[in-house]
Amino acid sequence: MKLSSEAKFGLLLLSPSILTLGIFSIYPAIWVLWLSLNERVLFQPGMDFVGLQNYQKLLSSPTFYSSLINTSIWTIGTVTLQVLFGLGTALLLNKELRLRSLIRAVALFPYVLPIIVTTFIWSWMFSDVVGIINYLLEVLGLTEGPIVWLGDPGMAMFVAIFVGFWKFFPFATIAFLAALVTIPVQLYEAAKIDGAGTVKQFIHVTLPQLQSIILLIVIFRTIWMYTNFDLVWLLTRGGPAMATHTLPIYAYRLSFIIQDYSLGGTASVLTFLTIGLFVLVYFMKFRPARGDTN
Amino acid sequence: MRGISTVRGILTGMGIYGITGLLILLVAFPLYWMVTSSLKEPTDLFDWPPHILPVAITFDSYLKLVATTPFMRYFANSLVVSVATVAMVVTASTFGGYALSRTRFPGKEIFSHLILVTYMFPPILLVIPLFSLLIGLGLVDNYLGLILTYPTITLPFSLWLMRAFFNTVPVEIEDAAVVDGATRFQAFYKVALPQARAGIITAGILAFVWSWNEFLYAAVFMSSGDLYTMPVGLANMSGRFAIDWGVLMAAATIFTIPALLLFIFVLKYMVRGFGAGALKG
Repeated sequence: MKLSSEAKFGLLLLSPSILTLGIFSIYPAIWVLWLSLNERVLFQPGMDFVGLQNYQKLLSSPTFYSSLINTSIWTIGTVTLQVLFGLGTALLLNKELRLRSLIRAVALFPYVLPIIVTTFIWSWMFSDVVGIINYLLEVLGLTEGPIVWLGDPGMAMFVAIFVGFWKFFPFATIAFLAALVTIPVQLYEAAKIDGAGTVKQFIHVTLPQLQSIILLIVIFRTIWMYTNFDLVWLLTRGGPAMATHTLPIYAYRLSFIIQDYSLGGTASVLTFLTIGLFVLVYFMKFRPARGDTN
Repeated sequence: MRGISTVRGILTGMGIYGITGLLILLVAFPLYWMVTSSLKEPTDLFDWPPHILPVAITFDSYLKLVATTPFMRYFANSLVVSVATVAMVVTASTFGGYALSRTRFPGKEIFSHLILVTYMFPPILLVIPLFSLLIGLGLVDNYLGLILTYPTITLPFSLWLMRAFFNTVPVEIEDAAVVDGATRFQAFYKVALPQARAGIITAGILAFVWSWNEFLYAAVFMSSGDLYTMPVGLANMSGRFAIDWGVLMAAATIFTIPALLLFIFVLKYMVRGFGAGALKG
């Protein structure tokens, strides 16, 4: 096949992207799938094909299921808070407020705040002995003794969900803000003429107009929260007593601490597959609704 | 009736500003606490009740940070990796986005779909095979190990973004330039590129924020302390000794400054250009 000069030009311009994504994204993704079907001994070349043995091992391990449950709790908690709060803040920041750009800047700042900094600040604030949060709760008369936030298996997940929500809600706010400005003003004017108040305008104009972006935000935030490794790891290292041990942490520990690459690879593939399955079901369920709004 | 609606209006106004105040407090107080903790006397940090306002301001924690930890080294490493990643992503995505928007070639459909697929790969899925691949290429403990792998995180979205930007630039001007004797490539970078400035900046910010932040790849691919980026260096600092919160808060404050400066500079682009791309992270 002879390529036209236009085709050559296009392929030439696209080649840096094709090479980067091909070598460092697509090839590794295929390779990890293959790795999960093999047994790989550390520091030894070559692998032995073992079929689904790694999957059987993981699926019969209680740690896998407790990690799956922890991941689900973490995901549902952070995504719900992010989406609700993200929508709320977007509606607020979309209003004509005095100092709006300053308020926007402050409210959206966690978006760029490094995750390591986020976890440092909140670990310090949630510190049990001299933490400011325990102090404020005591001053307000809400608690008596100090609460052992990150050291208590019953509490650590709440703290992780709160910090995850705090760091990531601006992701939803920004997406909602971008969507809010695309709603035609005429729709609100028509609703006002029909006598709709603020609440009715929100229910009958804003929400239906945002339907497709809400679905999109939920799906994307779910994927990235479900597969998040760094925030939870840096905050709790998966502890205490594995109370915040999620699937990505499981995959990391298996690979780089226990140094069983095959099993670690299998755990990461299972992380991807479980969320992939969820996304598929979600899309099949909501697709008709999406078709309506488009 | 008018009285009631005025009262209601005032209450709504107060409600809105009250909620805004709470929102600001929720975000700003932790940042305030970070900065003031870094400026307090280290012994004051453990006073009970805590001092909401610092009693005395000192830069001891900053001096200790620079004197006793390889902080500057980590900072420089992060800067090298992030700037190189931004350059890679911006170049590849403007070239590639232009190709996807303007040219036709065999396999274009497949490439477009594959780009979408790679957007969905989470770092935790790729970290194990990438580590193995980098060992094979001899790129572990090498800046290139991060510079080559970081772009894969934001490049897929940036390609789509740039394609969308070039789609809004009228093709006629480029055609006219070609008629006037410009080469195809000149028409691209002299005519089309300047029009896509907002897209380029957005792609650059996303890449910077990601690589400045990234922990997992950096922790796995860099095993020598000399090459630690800031997130990894800081994570190790917090684990090794009894935690010195003053020093950690000082490090956190300095590490936040580049992100803050960038943020102020680009805020106006954020909402407009980011859209759904802001969702990955």
